[in-house]
Amino acid sequence: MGSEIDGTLDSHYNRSHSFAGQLIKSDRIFSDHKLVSICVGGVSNSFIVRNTLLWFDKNYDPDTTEVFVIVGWADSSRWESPVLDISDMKDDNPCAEWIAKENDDYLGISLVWTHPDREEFPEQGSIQKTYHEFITSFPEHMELISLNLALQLQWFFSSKQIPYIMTDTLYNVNSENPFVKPYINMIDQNRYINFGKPRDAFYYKYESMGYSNDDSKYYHHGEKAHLHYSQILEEHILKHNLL
Amino acid sequence: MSSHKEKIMLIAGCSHTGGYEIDGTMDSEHNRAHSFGGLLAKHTNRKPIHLAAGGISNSYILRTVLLWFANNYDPETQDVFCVVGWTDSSRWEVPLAYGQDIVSNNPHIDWFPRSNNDYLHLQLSWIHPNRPDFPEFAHLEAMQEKYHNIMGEFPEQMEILSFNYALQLQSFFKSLNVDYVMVDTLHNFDTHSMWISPLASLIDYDRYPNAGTPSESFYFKYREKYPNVSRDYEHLGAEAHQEFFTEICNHVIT
Repeated sequence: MGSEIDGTLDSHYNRSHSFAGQLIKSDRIFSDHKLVSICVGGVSNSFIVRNTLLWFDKNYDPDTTEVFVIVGWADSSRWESPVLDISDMKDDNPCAEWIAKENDDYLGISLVWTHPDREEFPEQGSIQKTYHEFITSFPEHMELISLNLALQLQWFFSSKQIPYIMTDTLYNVNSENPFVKPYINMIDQNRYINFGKPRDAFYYKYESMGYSNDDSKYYHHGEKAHLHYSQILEEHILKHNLL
Repeated sequence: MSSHKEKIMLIAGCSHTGGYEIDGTMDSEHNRAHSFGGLLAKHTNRKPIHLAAGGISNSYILRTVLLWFANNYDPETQDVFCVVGWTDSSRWEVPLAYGQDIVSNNPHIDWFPRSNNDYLHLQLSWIHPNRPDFPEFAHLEAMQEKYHNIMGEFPEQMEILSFNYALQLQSFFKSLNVDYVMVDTLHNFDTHSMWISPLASLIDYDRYPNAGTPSESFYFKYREKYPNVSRDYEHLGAEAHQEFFTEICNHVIT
């Protein structure tokens, strides 16, 4: 979603200058596609799948709409716990074009931060502790969960003949994980660029190349990294005829 | 053209789908042939390929079906119909090369990917003891406790995982244009759940009768109607399988 390109977490400028926003402007690929940015900050891969499925369920009409999907997978160590009406995604991500209201019924779980205790929801701390213990103890399992989510979306798109491209933005699945290996041939690697190579994920790729963003407080890349990555995706889409 | 293809009935699930204890033993040719999937294969003149195994989880079922297709499926020569009997969503598995031997415990499996031995199967009702003789398995109980904490404290999360497995396999079959039927054999997920209901319309109910209705799952539906057939591990007998087969037939076989 291009968080912090302009120094703010969410803005229309950020979204339109994210790699997806830049890619959609490519007149070598897209003619009149409009950007529908449904990215949300800090979410897990299970959120990404659910929000995408719900978008299609509530918005997609194959007779009137031609959709190309760009999926940027998050870190596989993120998860979420089903908790009723715990968050307000739209309030936290005001420039998202569409977020299913049902997504408010999940507590996001991330290893890098902990939701503080709340008087009205005292179980919040213990829920996160249980999840954190699991996530840190079994990273291979978290990768398997995300791998299956990618396969789920891959086959959802292919069953509906919807063109797409997937990429990792953070550490997602490592093809060296011995439990991942039996699945590798199931992934359509034409449509999942650099699958299983965490060092080639958007964030780590440009970090290692020395790109920096002085406006970022939360480790997000700036406009140049996004523009460069959009060009890589553009070439990949053209080379593999993914439309 | 399809009449020249080998007609296969792929049958995946846990022990309930494998027909365990129909004849009083856990796994046998007789049990598998008289399970609801085996009866469906006979009724449709398809060669049964039994993948079901005892005590396993829905993630095992999903993975085994996917790996069977990855290693065996040829759409030019095979016409496959898949029967999937989902199990209890509270079961799970740990990716761990523990030295399990699934086939020796389930000798009538027709096909088995060796990588399935690299998982330790978990249920809330029992714990694998520590094995102090092997350093890597000396703390199995503590490891299982972390799994059990998620499984026990967050049953809704377990239902969500299993619900997604069903959607994943549904899309997989549709992308390959493979016929299938899914059923629940135990408590899988409940479509009345706040977290399942928003996505419940994505299920193809024509191919997954009674999805999300635990009281209609194989075991819970028939355990009172056929109370005398429950054996050592509470599996149902031949009459229940026959009736469930008829129910499935009426729903999906035209």
